[in-house]
Amino acid sequence: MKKISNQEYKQLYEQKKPKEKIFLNCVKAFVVGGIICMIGQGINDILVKVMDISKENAASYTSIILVFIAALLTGLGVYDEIGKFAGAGSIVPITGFANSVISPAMEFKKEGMIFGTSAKIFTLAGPVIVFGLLSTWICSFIYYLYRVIAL
Amino acid sequence: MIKNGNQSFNFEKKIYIADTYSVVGPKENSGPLSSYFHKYFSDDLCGKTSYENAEQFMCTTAAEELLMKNNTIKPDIYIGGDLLNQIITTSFTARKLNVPYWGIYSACSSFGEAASVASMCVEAGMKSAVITASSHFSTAERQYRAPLELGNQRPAWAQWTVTGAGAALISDTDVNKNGVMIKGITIGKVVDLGVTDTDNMSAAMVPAAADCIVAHFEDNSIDESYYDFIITGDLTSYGGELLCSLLEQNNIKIKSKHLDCGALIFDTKNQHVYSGGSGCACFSTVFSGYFYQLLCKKAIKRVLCIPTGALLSPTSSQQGESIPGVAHAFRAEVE
Repeated sequence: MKKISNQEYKQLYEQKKPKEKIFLNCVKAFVVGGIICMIGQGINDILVKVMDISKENAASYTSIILVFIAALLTGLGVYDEIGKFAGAGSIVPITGFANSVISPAMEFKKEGMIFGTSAKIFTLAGPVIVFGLLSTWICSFIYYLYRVIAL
Repeated sequence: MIKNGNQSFNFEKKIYIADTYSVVGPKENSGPLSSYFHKYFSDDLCGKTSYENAEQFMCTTAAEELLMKNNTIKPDIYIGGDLLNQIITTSFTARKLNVPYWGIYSACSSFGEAASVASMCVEAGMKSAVITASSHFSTAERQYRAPLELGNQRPAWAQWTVTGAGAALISDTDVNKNGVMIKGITIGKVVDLGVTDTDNMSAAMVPAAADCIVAHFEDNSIDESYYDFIITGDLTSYGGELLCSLLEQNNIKIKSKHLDCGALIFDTKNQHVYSGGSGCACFSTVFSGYFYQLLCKKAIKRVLCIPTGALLSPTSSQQGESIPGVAHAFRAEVE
């Protein structure tokens, strides 16, 4: 075969590659992500206004309820269908985090409770937890410096 | 065996593809080729406890049914490959078959490599060989990608691994009088043009396929007019276009003769398979189901089969390595 450089070949396949419907995908993600947040807000309002729970506690309960719903939908095999449609719209909210914990737990159940489910449960969520903790440390350190300097 | 050019070999004996057998899962069976497959399972778990077990069951079914149909033949060797680590599907199938066994691996081009090795065995004096190549969507997903229930999106150029297994009986006697022969092979080189996107397997495999086709034509001093069809494994229609334009730079025009199993097996518009099918079973089931029947009916007489493989592992791609491609060609002809 005639020699073709990696760069020339890249140009060729990028030009032939099927096109992604970026705008449509963004709209889908926006709508579904928005609906998930609306449901969360609804749950929060019910907890605060109807059940008379303090705002701080209601926020925690709302997260717990949303995580439960997402875990249940993952187990029923519905969440991945939502994800295929919505993309980032259903991955970014806390429900996506629940999905990323439950799905490997289910997937690796066949390798047993120890080496399967428990060892693999955080394979996807692990990085989220690591960077979550890391950013918390950095933010708290900045906050600490601010307190020391300002006061 | 006569060496032609640099990497092609033609056989002196008559080496027959005496029979084939294909087993597919439910999604493949609702695709456009459903009527050609020998057997399908409506449940992709096949009633087993894991998808790995299900894939083994499909592969074993394909091999056993093939041998049962041709019970006058006792194969000298079983050669096969699949996508899973340590090629467990094929080795565990061999555990059941009680036939001497060689396992091979060349990713989705395994059927091409198995057919080449098997025909060389027969040329060298063996009576017959049984070959298989299998894959399963759910076992491939967990090994190469994400858990099944993860709600992620994949790009439009990604591919859907075919669930199924294809088997063929390569023999020196044409027990079923089908007349389908393997006339020669071209052993492919590993070609890597720096594609690192693991969703873009088509682009990673196309250069290897192009290289193999160019070598095949040069070695045998023939061109595309010799063949009725040139069949690639799992490039999909996007990869097919890419292959044609890469070959055009080498003055080979195959557009009107090129077919791709990954584009044929699914209805890409309505079956939600991204750009098309992939996996060892993509070529093996489409060849042993569809094309073999066309050859038997003499609807087509000469085809060049080039299953294509992407030789990556999850480790290599996470470490930033590009994806090497490979393709092995064999000439299936009927007189």
